[in-house]
Amino acid sequence: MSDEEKGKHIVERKYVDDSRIIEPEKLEIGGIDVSGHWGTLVLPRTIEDFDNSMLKKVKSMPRGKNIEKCWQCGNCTAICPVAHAHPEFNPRYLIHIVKMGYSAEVEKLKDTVYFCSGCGLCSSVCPKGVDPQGVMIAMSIAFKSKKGYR
Amino acid sequence: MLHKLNEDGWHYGGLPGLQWEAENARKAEGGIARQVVEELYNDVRFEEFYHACINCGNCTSKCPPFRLVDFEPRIVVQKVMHAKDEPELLYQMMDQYIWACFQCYSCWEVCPAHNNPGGLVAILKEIAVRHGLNSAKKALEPYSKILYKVMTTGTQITPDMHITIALFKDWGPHKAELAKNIRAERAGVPVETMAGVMDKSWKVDEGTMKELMFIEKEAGVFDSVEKTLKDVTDMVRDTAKEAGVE
Amino acid sequence: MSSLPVLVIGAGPAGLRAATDLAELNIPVVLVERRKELGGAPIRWKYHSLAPDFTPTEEVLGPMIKFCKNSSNIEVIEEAVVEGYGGSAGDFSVKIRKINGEVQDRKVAAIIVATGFEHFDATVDPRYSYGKAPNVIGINELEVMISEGKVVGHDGKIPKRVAFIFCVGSRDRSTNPWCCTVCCGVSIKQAIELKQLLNDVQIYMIYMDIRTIGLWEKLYWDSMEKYGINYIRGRVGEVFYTGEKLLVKGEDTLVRGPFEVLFDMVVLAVGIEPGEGTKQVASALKLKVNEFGFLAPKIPNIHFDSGKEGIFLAGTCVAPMSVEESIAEGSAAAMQAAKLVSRTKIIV
Repeated sequence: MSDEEKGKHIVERKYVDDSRIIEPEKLEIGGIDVSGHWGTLVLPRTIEDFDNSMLKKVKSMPRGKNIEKCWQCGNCTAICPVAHAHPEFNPRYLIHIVKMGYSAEVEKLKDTVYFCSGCGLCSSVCPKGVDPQGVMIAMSIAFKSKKGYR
Repeated sequence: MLHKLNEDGWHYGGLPGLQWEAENARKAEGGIARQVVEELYNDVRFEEFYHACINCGNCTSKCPPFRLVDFEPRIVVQKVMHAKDEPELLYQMMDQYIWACFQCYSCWEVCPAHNNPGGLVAILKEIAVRHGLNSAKKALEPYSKILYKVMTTGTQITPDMHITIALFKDWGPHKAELAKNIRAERAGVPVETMAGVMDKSWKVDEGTMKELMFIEKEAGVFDSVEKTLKDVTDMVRDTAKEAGVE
Repeated sequence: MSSLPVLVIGAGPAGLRAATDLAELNIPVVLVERRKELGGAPIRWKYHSLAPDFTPTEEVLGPMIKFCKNSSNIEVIEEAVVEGYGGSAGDFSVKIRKINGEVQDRKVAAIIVATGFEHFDATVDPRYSYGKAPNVIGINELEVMISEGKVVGHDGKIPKRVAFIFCVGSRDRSTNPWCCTVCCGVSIKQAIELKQLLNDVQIYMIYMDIRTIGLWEKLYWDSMEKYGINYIRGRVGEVFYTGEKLLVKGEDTLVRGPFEVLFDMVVLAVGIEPGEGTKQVASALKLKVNEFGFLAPKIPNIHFDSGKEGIFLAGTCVAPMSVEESIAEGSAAAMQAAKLVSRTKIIV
């Protein structure tokens, strides 16, 4: 079943991630086909754990060691020329999800880290000396060296 | 930064849900968007339901739809808060977003500022119905039979309470088909959610019906839902006439 | 020198400082304390150290307590409350009732009110399961544990993951709408102490806003940079005991994502509210109370002026504040009382 067809019965379909819809192709009860409508299940999108393994990896790299100083002010994203053109790339958000260990979110957005042009504007404005540009480099290496979290 | 949102689509934080929201918002008609905001701000309940939002997220943490879909009471209040400057964003939200809320008011209970996001959504839904917005039509279409029943008797029915399945067409495209095997299909649904649905029916006294429809007529319920639910309102008006109300 | 003493009600940081200053000016003092020991909140709840520099409580309050106990100018009346007053500035007559029922009438020149605060009782707000679920504790209880050098759960196990929940009973119309001003700093201070005590503990701070005002900001920075304490922006909707661990439900508002994460221990940053003592003294001395239940100064910016001549206010009975501010306010009130005493002396 392709992603567009999945969960077409859901009223707020646009607001549900494809990956969270479970729809069995065939579901039978008492010899009657009840697949589709009744069998559709939307998984909760709740974060249930903080997985620190990626943070450790980023922290161990020379330019990623300052990631822990970040207090989420958003100065880096505000000045980032790439983020203006490609809002899916957001240094503040990437730092936050890696710091907190939201593994599913990292998995979803990890490719956006390569949008970083390395201009270094973020590092020049960061009030806490996080060096977001360096953290982006560290992240891009960390994401590459390890496929997924587990 | 805020004015950029309207002109060339400044995105909050680049989060997936909000990008297309901002894009859609720019397509909205300015006139009706401002009118919606005007009506919302002038609603009698508005002062009680809205104070100010400090973005703490307590409402969202208690919200049942939030567990499943991308609906957040916090975002609703935030957009209401900024509606004066960005009416398009609020209007855009009425398209689909607010219909995920089912007014359980958990958010109201926990809000430290005593805002009522669920109540604000209720007002917005009413505005959508009054104006006959497409979103309201689309959201309420599958329920027109229920709405008819509720408006005439104050109660509702389930498909197996009727003798023929033909009546269920306006429950939505799949309902007539579903009604055929409804008992078997319900066997697939957790039992407790269906408790009392399959074995009970309601009989409503004629006098009660008459009184109800009279109240609805006098309170302007018929007029307010007419734009969205033309067919239903016509049917209810006919019933009311037969009962001697109109 | 006027022979009439100054009455100081409450022997916390503000009261002790006021009594000490007056005694050092050779003015006799009657120090009335409701409880059996001197020192007020920091001693009562066994504060281990004080923010922002981890100064041991003993170092700050010890000398004042010692002075008040030993000074010949100070008469300490423990386990007693002031029940009523009459007269005017320079010549008050007050009724002091001890817990054992003994009543004494005293003549005093001035009154300094420093009745302090109580920690918010978290059982009032059911969402945190305080008092129902084990291992949900207040910062006051954690402070005692840190003082004893042993932080363990109800089953004696050392917690691996600890969540601090900020603004419990603060900034909430359902409970107390004011900001308690110090809980952010105190919680962060405790988190750092906890990290030093239990090396491999993971600490998460769930906050609405971090309000480490002034020089306390250093605590906030250090906690992140030196101790790796994590901050999640959001407010908790529910704490639920699974039978083994505590499930904390909330939203990370920076991610727009819901979280339901298990913790071994949940620490509630309970706020400051005017205590029983403040209520009692307000009715006994007929003082004005503001909308929040704190004693209302005549002008909100001038804390010591109660609006009644000869009665001065100091410390957390006026507004939430830190220990250092309370001590300063005690001194300020003592100065006003000393002025009054020297004036009456001239008239006499």
